[in-house]
Amino acid sequence: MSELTTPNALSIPIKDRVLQFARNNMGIVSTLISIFAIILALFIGGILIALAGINPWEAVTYLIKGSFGNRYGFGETLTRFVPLLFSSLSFAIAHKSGFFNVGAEGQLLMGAVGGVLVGAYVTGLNPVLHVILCILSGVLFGAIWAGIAGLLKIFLGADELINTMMLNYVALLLVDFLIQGPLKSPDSYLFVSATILPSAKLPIILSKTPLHLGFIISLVVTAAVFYLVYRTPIGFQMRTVGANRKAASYAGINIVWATIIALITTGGLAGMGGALELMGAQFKIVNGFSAGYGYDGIGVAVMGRYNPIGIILATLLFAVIRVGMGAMQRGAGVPFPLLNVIQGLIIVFVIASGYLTNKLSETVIGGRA
Amino acid sequence: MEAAWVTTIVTWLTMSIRLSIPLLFPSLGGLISQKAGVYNFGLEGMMLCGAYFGYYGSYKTGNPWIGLLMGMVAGGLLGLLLAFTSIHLRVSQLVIGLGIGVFSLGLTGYLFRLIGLQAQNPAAILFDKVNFGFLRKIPIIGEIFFSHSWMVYAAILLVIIIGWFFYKTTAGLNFRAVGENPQVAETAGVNVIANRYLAVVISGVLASMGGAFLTLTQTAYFMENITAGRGWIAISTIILGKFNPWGVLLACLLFGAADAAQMQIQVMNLGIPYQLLLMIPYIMAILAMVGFVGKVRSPAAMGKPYIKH
Amino acid sequence: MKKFSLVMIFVLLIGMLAACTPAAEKPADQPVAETPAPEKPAADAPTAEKPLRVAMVFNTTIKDGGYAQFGYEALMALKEKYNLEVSYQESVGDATIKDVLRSYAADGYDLVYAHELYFTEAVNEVAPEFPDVKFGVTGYMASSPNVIALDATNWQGVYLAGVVAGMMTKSNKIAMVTVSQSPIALTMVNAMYMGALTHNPNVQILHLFTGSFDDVVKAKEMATAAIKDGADIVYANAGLGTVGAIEAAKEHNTYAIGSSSDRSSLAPDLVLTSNILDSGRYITIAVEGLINGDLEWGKVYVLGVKEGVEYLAPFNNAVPQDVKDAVQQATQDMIDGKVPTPPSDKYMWE
Repeated sequence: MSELTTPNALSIPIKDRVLQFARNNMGIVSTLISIFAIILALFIGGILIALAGINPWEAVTYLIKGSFGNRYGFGETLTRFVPLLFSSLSFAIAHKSGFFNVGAEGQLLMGAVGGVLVGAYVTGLNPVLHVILCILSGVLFGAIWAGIAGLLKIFLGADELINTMMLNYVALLLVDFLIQGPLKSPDSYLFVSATILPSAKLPIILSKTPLHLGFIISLVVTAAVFYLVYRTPIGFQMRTVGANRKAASYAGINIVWATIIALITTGGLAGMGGALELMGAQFKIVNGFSAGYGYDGIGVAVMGRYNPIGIILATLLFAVIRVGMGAMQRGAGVPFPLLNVIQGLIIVFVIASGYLTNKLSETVIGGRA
Repeated sequence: MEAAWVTTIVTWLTMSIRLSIPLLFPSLGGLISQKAGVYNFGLEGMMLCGAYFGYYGSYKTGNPWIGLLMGMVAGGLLGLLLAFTSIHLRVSQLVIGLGIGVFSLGLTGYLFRLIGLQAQNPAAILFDKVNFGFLRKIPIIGEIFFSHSWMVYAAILLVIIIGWFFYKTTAGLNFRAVGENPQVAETAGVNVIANRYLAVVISGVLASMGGAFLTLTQTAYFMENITAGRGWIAISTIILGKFNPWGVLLACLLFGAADAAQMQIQVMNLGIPYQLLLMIPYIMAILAMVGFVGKVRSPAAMGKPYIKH
Repeated sequence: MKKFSLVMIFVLLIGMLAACTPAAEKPADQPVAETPAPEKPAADAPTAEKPLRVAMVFNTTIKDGGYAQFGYEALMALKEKYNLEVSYQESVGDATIKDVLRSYAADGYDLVYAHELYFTEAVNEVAPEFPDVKFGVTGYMASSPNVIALDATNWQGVYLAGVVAGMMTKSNKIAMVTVSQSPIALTMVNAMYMGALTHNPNVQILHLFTGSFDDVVKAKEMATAAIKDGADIVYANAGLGTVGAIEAAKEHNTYAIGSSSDRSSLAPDLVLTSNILDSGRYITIAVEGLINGDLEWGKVYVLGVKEGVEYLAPFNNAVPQDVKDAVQQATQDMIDGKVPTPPSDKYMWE
């Protein structure tokens, strides 16, 4: 395509100018398209809300205010952000390494179990050490849980999509069993786990909000993980195995080893998410510990196109929606099922807008953004 | 009179069949879609819509057939949406399925709420059980095989039809080619896009029938999230069934049997923690995956958007 | 470079939106006293001009035909009667309950009521942070002076149902379908056993649980399995599944006893009665107590048959007079305190 050379700006037709802008700033354009999709979905949602007899402007105002317009909501959004980010990282890394890990929900729960075992039952440690050990325990449990499906895949060729999915259900039932028996809290007659000791709790980093240190940790880990995947030899091996197994083995890469590392990473990330959620927000395991973080994480990873910035933005979007929806019901009285409808619309529209982005980038750059 | 253990076995087998049907309908639907090369992750959402509109149509008109028709239309429309976004917009089939799921959960819950908040919701009219006359009275066999609603038999019939279609007809062969190697199919004159659309819409219709099965034969009342995740389990049964209708039937029966067994064991009060019992179907699925020799082969072009040249 | 500009745009957008909204939600018509935390409103005693603001939080959907629905309906009735300003949030999970409570409290609600047993600890943890806001919970603990806990015994009604079942059963096998095997469920099962024992020494209770609050079909299958095993009375308290269990009874022409609300319309000839739990009473007591100022806060109130919170629905035609009299007697016994609380840790017959 031609370069931008004309000195007289007025002589360039509008269409070409727009295309040139798009070519140079594909990232911004794709974000704008996604934002437009969200607004469109909210618009349709607004019509439904109006049909229900509620003022849609008011409702959307509550959505925004409740999720980042006031201090507590802002903190709450970033708190919901943490487990969601980890589960989407988990799915993304697995995807890059060539397998489908839809088991983040279960691995997250098992990570929380690992966290509770160290956090509630190991006493006499100083806070820093306790926190580190809890996190490691969470990573370990998550990695093991993913490892079950992974080893079945490596050594027995079993499909990991179904195994990780099944293990989600098993994990849910297992945790249900544990909090009713072996891990049941001695203090409460309800079915909850023991509460972790104060030395295992993460400090709040924004006063008067639930926002805890896990948020910072999540961002650091995201950077570290993508560094691992894109800048280290083992990361290269993982990606190559993911792209083309045959080529990888011809190139002399130890497929088993690369897959094992990928497994540890993907399960460990989800497990860490569960442990951090335990240590920073919930402090004990209850039924309903995971509010669907594992499954939403898949949507986030895809929407974020498997790159770190995209994932962080998509996670923010989901977190904003989650928290904002609650505020919409509280403030404007929007019935909960209608909130689900709007959430579904947002997901469908945003993912459908990906088409527009792809089309545009194919026209403009000759490839996908 | 039968011995107690005979009753237990008979009850268990009958329940196994009954519990497998809500899985069988969406599984067959998902199978058809996947044979044509498109993942249908929206089965749960389509089931839920089928359940709600089936319920609504039946109680509003007093005729379960109207309800079934409404449910099927709803499922078909969602299938159309999935088809359009997957085939023409070529977006992530996984995420669009998730989106459809959330959307349907909200839609059905909301419409259900619009009916009003009363002490007793209106009851749908259920389909009558098929009257097999004297066959039903045969001990043991009568209960296991002749005590079901017509939809049960329809589902089994579907397995036979689908099996015959895919493996014994030219149309079926073309269909499978669309999923295996769309480029070759196109050059051979098969309209890949049209076949894929058809497949996905049919899968939506079948999934919604699974949901309607719940509200038109099992229970006369809709409840929010009545499908309780069955549409997701259906995805596993398709893979477990090795992308083959008979395999899918067996897989669904496996799940149904394990679920029924778990209930019987509770009835027999053996003191096993119920969560462990509820885990049985899932662990069996994992074991079965491992037990089968060789890998499960999905249609080669599954999930890959087809770009016409 | 592209990614940086991406982030910049996003940050700009958020900044713009955040700047357009006020930092804290301050209700316009309320005098704002200077407090250390800007979010805390000055909650005076309700005056004539300012409507009382009541918030209610539910763990499930409000359309469940029972527990949550009664609470919701009571809230709406109170709103009409006392001209309240109300708000509610449903399907709140344990993961987010504290955030919801805090948001309501910071938003200037006078009473924040959590209608769910499992929210008890959360309410008691959040309440001390907002000493000027009154909290209520349908639970078992009130450790802060601004909290009130209300709940039913949850077993007294079942005891009465047990009396009926024990007398009406011919096979001496009674099926109980619940959601789980929690201590509360065990208390209920034992209450049924105790009630049935009063007139039937040979009775056996079959306890089945679905493991799910909303799986209607599963509850129906459980009940079917029990009926096939010989149970001739089905008592169902399985969340949304209650309806399913009664349907199973209907299909097999078996007697049933409902719960939560009057289930007789499901099968008028077969549903003997229902164990009604007036779960709307809790919020009513809390709100009226706040308005009239005659309720002692910081306490736990357990209500039952005596207070009319738990009772049996009108019997159907299948129930003979001697059973009705027995129920009458059992009710009186409970009011007089003659019936002990059943154990919650194991089945009584083991």
